[in-house]
Amino acid sequence: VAVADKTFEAFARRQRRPLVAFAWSLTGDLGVAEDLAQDALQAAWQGWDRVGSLDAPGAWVRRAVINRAAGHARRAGREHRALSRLAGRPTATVELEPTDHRFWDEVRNLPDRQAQAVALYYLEDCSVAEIAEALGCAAATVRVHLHRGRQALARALGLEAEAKEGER
Amino acid sequence: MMDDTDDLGADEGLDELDRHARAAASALLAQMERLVDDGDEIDRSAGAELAASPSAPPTDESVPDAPDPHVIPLGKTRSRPGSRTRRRRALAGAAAVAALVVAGGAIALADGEGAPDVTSGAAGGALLPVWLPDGLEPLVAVDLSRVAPTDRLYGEIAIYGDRDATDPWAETLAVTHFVMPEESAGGWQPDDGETVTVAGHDATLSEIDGLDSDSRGPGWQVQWHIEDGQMGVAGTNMTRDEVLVAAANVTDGPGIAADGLPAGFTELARGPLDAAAPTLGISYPPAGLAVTYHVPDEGDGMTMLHINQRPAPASAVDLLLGSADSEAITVRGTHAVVSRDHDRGIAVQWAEPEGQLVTVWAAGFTEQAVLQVVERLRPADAGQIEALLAEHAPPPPGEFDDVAAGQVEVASGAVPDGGRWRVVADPAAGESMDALTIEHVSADGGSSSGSSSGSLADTAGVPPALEVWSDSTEGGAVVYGVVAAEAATVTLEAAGHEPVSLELHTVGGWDHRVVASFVPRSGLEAVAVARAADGREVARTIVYLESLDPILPDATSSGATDGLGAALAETCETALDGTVSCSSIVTENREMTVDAPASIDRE
Repeated sequence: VAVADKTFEAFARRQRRPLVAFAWSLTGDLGVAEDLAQDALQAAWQGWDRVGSLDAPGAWVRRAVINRAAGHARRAGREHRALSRLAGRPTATVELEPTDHRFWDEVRNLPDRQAQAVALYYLEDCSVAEIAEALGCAAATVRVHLHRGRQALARALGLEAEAKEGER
Repeated sequence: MMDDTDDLGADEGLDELDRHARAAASALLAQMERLVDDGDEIDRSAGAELAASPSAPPTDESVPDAPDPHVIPLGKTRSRPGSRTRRRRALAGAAAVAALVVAGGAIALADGEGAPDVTSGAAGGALLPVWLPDGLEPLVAVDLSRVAPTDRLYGEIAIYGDRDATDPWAETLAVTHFVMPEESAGGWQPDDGETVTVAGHDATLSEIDGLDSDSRGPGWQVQWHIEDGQMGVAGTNMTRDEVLVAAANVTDGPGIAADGLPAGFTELARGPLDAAAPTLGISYPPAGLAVTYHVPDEGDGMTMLHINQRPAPASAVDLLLGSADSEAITVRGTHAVVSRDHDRGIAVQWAEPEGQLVTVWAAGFTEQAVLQVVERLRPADAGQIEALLAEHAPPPPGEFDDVAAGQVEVASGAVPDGGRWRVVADPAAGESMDALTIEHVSADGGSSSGSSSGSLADTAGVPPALEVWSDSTEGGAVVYGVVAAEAATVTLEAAGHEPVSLELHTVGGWDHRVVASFVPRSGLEAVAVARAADGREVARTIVYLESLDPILPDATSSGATDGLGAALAETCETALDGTVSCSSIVTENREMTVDAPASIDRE
């Protein structure tokens, strides 16, 4: 078996679950999340000669998920079709405590870039630099997104009492 | 200036949120363990199956939609939600296309200029079909002797077992010498595993779990890097020590000296690696002919048939017996092996008297149909081979193949690495992104193409005034899309950057025009803005310039900073009805002055 194949296999195995979790955090739909992750890994495989040589191929697939998630949210027509397809299959659901569900719901209510930064920060424990690489923006920009996103989350979740001091 | 380190310092008042968030994150990840890939078999769906499943049987299940244009598909691959099996099949189909391109356009011929050298080893006596299932036509024909050495990924394998055992292939030792171009070998990375020393080499020992559909059972493998590639020893149903002993006794050839073999073990088969795993389609012996047939216009790469023939020892036929579902049969009056794989299709392999190993593997056909093809192969004369290679050889490196009938090339250009891009439209597909395909060729012969589907059309089917996507390539991205006729200009705009005018192109019979330009930027979120001749804004949409290159902070962002660094792109929101609304362009400096904390706490 080609070395490249094995390298990709190991990469995909490591990335798949966290990638689905990340996609779910942005979409709230497990079926869509699996597809977004799968599509991103598929893209990575198809460009693996280049993606695999990057310093952080994990950041590349996360950006691919972000792009696809953004597209998912933007494209009503595709969403309808996806929902139609999803309706025809057994669905698995993410079973979380209500408070945890609410947290992720609020993450999804954030502006896209804030949601992406927050999800990477909490879910994947990414550093600012890693988030910047995944989002394709500067670290300073990530700090802004993170700050605003977290402040907004604190407000939405009723945890703003302590946070107000940090707000303008 | 705020530095780019990971130290976010303290962000007051958010400790409770952080605790809450991390608990929610942990719970979600735990759910992923439960819900996603409930076992190694599924774990491999994105890895092993992608990598090793070049094809799949046909399915009548609907697989609508093409990949997002941010994907760089090597063909019109399709991946859709649905049952896990469906996804796996779709992925296998994608890999099939990858293999197909490797077999064709992604390889560089040694002499990249002019017509193929039909006097080479492929010229005479090769077998060609006199019968094919309905719809199959030649797609790519490659004279393997002319594949440039730098593109030749080639392996030799020898398999050892006990011929007197009830099933000699149940317990085997395999030694593989995988020859890679220097560039690839330099980037070799072993699988995860235990570091051991084999014959003076640092090597990696890992366990084979045996759950791979192509594996006959668990065992161990050890790999190490050598000057021209990789050496490996794998033992199926063998112990760790047996594999290490075998590895310590590897010889050139490759082989395993008698001292390294268990009692009773002898060589069962030897030959090119692709004879052991023909459906991988990734190994190129230095001579032979490889022809791929497909169903034109099918588009998803799910139905293909490959005929590969190359010089090899007769015993190479049996290499296919290492596959899990394989058996010896007789074809063309001689010993052969058939391998069946649910996802990868059917492979039949035998040796011709002239020392040619022939492998036919097909996806999307019954075994009976494949065997009919096999039985109806006939030696072709030089003229037939010449005609086949002339018509179906992969295009020279850096050049596109002809545009398909009914389609038109709308725009093209060069990229910094010497490759080229082009946007092709299918005018009959409607005035939308659905009609566009982005294609790339690299200077070394690699090629890829991607189609974009999923127009932002509203519920009445009216396409938006502006749809723009980016497709990453070396050194930047091709920004392409469709814009309404009333637009006179389309510019790509981002904070801290000079607007970039995108070229507009006409397509015969269309009112809309096609936007297409190469943008030498990466890692940038920008807004494409269409304006009428009087300057009135017609439409705008966000464009993510996804790049394959490592992303670097923008060095050209506005100089009028407050010391806080890079620019923040304009924020746009698009409603589900396709309406895009953007906030006014604000500078990062102003926002950060007002709103940004000095730092954010991080546990």
